[in-house]
Amino acid sequence: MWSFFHKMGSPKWFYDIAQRWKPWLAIGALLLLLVGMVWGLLFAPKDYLQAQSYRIIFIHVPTALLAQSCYIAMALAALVGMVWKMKLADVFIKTAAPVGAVITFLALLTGAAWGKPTWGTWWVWDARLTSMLLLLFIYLGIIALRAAIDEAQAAARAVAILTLVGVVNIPIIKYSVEVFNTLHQKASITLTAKPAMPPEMYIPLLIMVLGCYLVFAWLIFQRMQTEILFRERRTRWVQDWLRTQSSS
Amino acid sequence: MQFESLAAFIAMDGQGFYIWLSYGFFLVCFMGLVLAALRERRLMVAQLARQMRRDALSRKPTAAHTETSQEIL
Repeated sequence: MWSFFHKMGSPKWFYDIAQRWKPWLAIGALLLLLVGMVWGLLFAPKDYLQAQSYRIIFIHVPTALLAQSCYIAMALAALVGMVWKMKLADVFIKTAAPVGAVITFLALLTGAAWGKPTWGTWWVWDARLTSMLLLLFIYLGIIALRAAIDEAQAAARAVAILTLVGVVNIPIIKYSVEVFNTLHQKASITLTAKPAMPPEMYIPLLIMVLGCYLVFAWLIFQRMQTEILFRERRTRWVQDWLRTQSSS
Repeated sequence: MQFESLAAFIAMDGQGFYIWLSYGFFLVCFMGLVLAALRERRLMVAQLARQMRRDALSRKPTAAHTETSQEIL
């Protein structure tokens, strides 16, 4: 465990691991998303109340979960970066923030598209929706803050602090539907109880969740590799590798 | 299969607009993210390779330089 942690300090080690894992992540993601979407759109049964519009769940829940998970990962990275001065932690935060922002936007958009036929409104300022919108603003704030500070070390530090400050929003999002009287429904899927939906619906949902997480992992690996190449451009291993690229 | 025809599948009991709006944005956004990530890496590699060639050239002494320094000697 400790040696893994130690290795994570090396950008080159991460670059090589990412290179090995990317093809599998890509194949896995494509398969899962294809199966999940075909199952969810074509084979999952009609809902007794919502008819077909509930099929948006297969997009909305994965993106909403991922938006929060991405932020939690960024906050963990911020902590690790500040305490152990791990370079890769900042690389992760930098590359994950824009992806997290797009995913949060998707969660909000699909939620609105689902809300209109179901609740009769695209938007309402209830606790769940408002805190998810806040999550989007925090992501954008993180991106803007990094762009505003020229010096890389200072930017990394400031962004890490902002990320940690913003993490208080995550439990707010999660418990918003329990604590407040919200239009958004309570959780249908929990870790403890049986899901409040039949297997024909929640299995494709889990497939889509896993597929989206794999796409996210691929995106992060790819983007981190690019950032690592830039930050480590003066090192021997990058220079040697670049030479093999130009000659091929 | 839950739908008798392609038309029924697209119509989705009248809720097709909301469903295809959601799935459409989902696919476009994720494909956009993937293509952007691929493109950025390609551009970065090209830029770094170009910079490396430029650095190598600026370090190499030219023939003219060598002759001048020999004359001075």
